[in-house]
Amino acid sequence: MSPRTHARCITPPYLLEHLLTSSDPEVRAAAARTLAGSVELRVRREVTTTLAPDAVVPQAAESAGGARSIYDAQHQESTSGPLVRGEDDPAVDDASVNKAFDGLGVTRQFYADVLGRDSIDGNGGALDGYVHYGRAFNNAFWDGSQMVFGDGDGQIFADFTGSLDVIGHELTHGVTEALAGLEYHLQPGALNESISDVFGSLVKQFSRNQTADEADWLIGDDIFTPDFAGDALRSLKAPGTAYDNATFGKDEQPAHMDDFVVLPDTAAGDWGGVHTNSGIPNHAFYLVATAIGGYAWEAAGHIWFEALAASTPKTDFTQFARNTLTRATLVFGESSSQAQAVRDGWSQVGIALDEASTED
Amino acid sequence: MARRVVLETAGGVAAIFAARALVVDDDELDDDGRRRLSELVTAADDDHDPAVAGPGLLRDAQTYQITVEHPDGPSLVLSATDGHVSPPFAELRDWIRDNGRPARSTRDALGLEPPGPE
Repeated sequence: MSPRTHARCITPPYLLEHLLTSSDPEVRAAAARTLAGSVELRVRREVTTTLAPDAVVPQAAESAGGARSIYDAQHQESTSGPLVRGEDDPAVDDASVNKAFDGLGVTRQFYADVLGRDSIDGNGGALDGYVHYGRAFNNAFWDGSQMVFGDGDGQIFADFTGSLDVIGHELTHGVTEALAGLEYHLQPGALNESISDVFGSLVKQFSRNQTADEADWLIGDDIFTPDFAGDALRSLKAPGTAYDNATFGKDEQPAHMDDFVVLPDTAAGDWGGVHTNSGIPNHAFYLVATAIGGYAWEAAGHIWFEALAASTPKTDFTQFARNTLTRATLVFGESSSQAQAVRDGWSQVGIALDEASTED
Repeated sequence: MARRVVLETAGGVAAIFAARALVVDDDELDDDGRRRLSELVTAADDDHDPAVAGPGLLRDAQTYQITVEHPDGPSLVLSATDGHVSPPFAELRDWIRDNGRPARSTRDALGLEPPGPE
């Protein structure tokens, strides 16, 4: 297990409902108490998504903390600009500020409602974001304590706050650091990137109330200018197909270990291709989630999140796969359809899980 | 052979879309351009704090490397990473973006091809 602080993780309602049938009366009673307490929150979310199924939910999360602060970098490459919207402030006359504010709110709500995690650090820590960073800045990044968003160059990329999955991706880097501290090199680095893509996509699916079959499984499709409409940064459903055009060429993300790309562990090599080889665990998650069916953030999302909490800085693809199988087996049973979906998903990307598999 | 300046960008959440290397050749600039480039290189070099050796806690940060190749002397290599880009480095990098041309090939970026039309 990781030596780092682990999140408290609420038991998902569908599992609680399953536990109501337990032969152990104490388990049944505990499940009933917990389920009763979660009903109000769940109903509130369902009402919200029914009212606006395609909209980003802008209101504050049900979190105890995670107060949002959005700052304006004023086109400097510095995180020292003025605060332009705080947690209790109304919308301002700047779309980037409001999109960042709302996106952080939805992501916070996802982590609180679905995974029982109170903000990035699990303790209601502040959520700080900078917008309008740099000049024609084609990036969004996590600087170790806050999220930073560029406006894009207006030619290829538009405002990076325009994509909820990108906001969720960046915030998740903070969660991963707090939970597992996955190194940003080679396979642990690609796994780090994949975790951000997985939960970034789940945040978007959650906000749209989409099942695994309904989701687009794309990352960053909203940050391209109209000239590149239809392109995305990555596809979890079909790595290697996110874009194909004369300007950039074709997406070369692998979806199988046979196609793993060996790149130098240098800045120029993107630390061993962390944004390239993430396609392999990305696709494994897609396969598991669609095999299980329903909302991907439920069974599959919880399995992945618990496996992340059981990871360490050097966890590689195979070890993480073992972690997911261990969690699926513990929660659903060794012969459950969920555990079988996990075995099959990893097998289809070239990672076989034998019977002797154990967690980190 | 004239001075050549090459900007390379790597990483970022859109890492795969990072711009190709950009090249500025002295003999493709007018006198004002050459003078301005010299000023910017000098300012960036004076203020240069080399990029850290590893990613540290940065995630999705881009790294920029500017190589100034002198025909009669050693090359100067300046680098910086998102979150730690000094204003003079940013000014030089942005000037190269505005005035450079995409490298035609890896050999071009390495100065192994003669100047020519794109």
